[in-house]
Amino acid sequence: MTSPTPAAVSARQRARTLLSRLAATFGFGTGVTTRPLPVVGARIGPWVPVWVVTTAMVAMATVGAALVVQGWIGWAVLGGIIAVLVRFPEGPWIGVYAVAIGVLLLVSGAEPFASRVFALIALVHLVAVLHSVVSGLPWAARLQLRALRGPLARFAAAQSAAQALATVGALLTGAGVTVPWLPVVAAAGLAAVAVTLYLRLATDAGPG
Amino acid sequence: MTELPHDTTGRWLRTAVPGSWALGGGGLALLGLVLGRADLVALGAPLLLGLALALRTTPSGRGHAAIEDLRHDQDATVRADLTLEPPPGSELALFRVSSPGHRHVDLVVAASGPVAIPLCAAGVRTGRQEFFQVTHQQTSIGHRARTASRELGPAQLTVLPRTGELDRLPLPPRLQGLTGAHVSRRVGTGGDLHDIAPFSRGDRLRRIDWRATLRESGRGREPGTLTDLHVRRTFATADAVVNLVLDSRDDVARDRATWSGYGEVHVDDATSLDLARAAAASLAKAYLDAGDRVGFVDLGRVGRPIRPAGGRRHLQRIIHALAESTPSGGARPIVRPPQAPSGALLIVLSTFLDDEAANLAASWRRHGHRVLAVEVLPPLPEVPRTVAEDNLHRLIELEQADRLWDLERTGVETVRWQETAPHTRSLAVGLNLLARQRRRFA
Repeated sequence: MTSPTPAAVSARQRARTLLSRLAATFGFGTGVTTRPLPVVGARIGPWVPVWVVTTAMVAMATVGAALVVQGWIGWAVLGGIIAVLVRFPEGPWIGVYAVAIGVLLLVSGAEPFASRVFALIALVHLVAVLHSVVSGLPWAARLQLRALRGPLARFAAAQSAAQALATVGALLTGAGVTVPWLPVVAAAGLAAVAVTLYLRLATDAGPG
Repeated sequence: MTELPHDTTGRWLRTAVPGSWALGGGGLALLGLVLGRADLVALGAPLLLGLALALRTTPSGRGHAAIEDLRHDQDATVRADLTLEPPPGSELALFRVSSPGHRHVDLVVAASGPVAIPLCAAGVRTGRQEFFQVTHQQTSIGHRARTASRELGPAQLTVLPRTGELDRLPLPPRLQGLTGAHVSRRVGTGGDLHDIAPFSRGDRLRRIDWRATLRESGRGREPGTLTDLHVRRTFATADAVVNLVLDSRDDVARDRATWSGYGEVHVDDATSLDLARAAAASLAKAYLDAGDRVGFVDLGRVGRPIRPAGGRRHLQRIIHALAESTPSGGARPIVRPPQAPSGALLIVLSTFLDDEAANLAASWRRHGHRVLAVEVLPPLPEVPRTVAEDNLHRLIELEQADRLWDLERTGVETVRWQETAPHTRSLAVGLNLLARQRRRFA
């Protein structure tokens, strides 16, 4: 990109000054114009602004909501959660969003393992991943594309396992297989996972 | 050289992300079990799996951030490298880089390994300045923890004034010494012929002009008879002593609205002191390259002049003194003019916005020195102005023009330094004209 010529800069400055003076005559501003300050230069390779990733996250969260919401109450609830998610990044809101999606999925009367569930598994997870990346970052920050590689790799690993789990579940449900002791095993497994995570989070001295 | 800033990274602090993911994944799984809906368990499974993956690595220890290789390049840009040795378990690093006169930039980069980010900022201004203040923070894998943010910098850099090329320069009324690049009026060892004179005591034998001797001896005598020897006498060479006088009490930009200190001077605008430094450095280089001796006086620090001397190291000494000169404290009246070497050319670099520098120049002129006044006020920006602003600018210009005209009447020669490309042209033309006025000196 070439820098503008001094004549172009001067013309731009002149136009800005005239506009400022015009606005000042109608009571807007003081009429004093200053040239915009240059931005500190930094080279980090390919990057996207954080607001683009945030917008993508909001769009995905909205698509996820559209798959389960019926009626304006659902939109109001999820819209509010998404707004809080963006405005207050430090909080349990991504968990609240996931649970709200699950509850609304139940309320919508969808069949277990309907096709949209597979999309929701990916969407909710992706929203959580992007939220963890951009939470607390200034919207104008430059996000190096390479910085997304790690989170997206973990997303792919977790998704492949979760989608496989969902496919197995769908096959079993579709074939009418009933395993009476499955809830017990699942509850035990879930309890084990919960205890493990809890111990890891609570007893670990935490980040050093 | 000032030590460049470096610092460790902050200590690790927990974030709400693991709890949030555990709430979402665990809540969905629990809901699915209670209601017998395996699809809800599958919906929450990626969050739990992602959390388990993130918890495999525990962030610990401290990293190290630094600003390295701070330098001023020829394209009027200041560059540096922002480096980070991230602590173990880091995944992302957030930097907020600011610099005086610039808008800050926020950067989020991968920090699983060493990070090096080239930074740059506008560096039109000269003198001692601060660049690149950095606030940095790291986040761990999966955003499980983040470090407390730490400040780094700013880095201090003394930007030396650039030197331009000047061809012909005015010289003082009296040259000094027995060697140098200039031809003086005295007889001595030089290249230019002064006259042919009878041999006298002290003349060297190799200066005998045999043709002239024979011609003079042959007149009215027998051919081949040598009577009086004649020698070729030449003009002696000498060097000039030039004293640069910098008025560092003013540092004003071309945007007159900033003169009251209300607005900030744009980083792309060279101030009067920047122009004066560039002019003085160019003059010092030109005179020293010609073999002359150059001294330096800062009117802001009258007590510490640099005595006239020659050579490349002396040029560096003057350039560093120029870079260090800055307005300090309130304006103090100068009681008496700084001492000037006898027979020196005095070059006063000032905005001439007040009478102090002009009075000094006139005083030196009355003492018999040749004085050159270089006016370094930056030109007005070409932007529309109100009538009041126009009147104000006209008043300032008229006052300054009056002052310079009064100076010229006392015999001080005036030249205007303008920031044009090539930026030494205006001064070079003016100096050329002045240099032609006096060809040979005592």
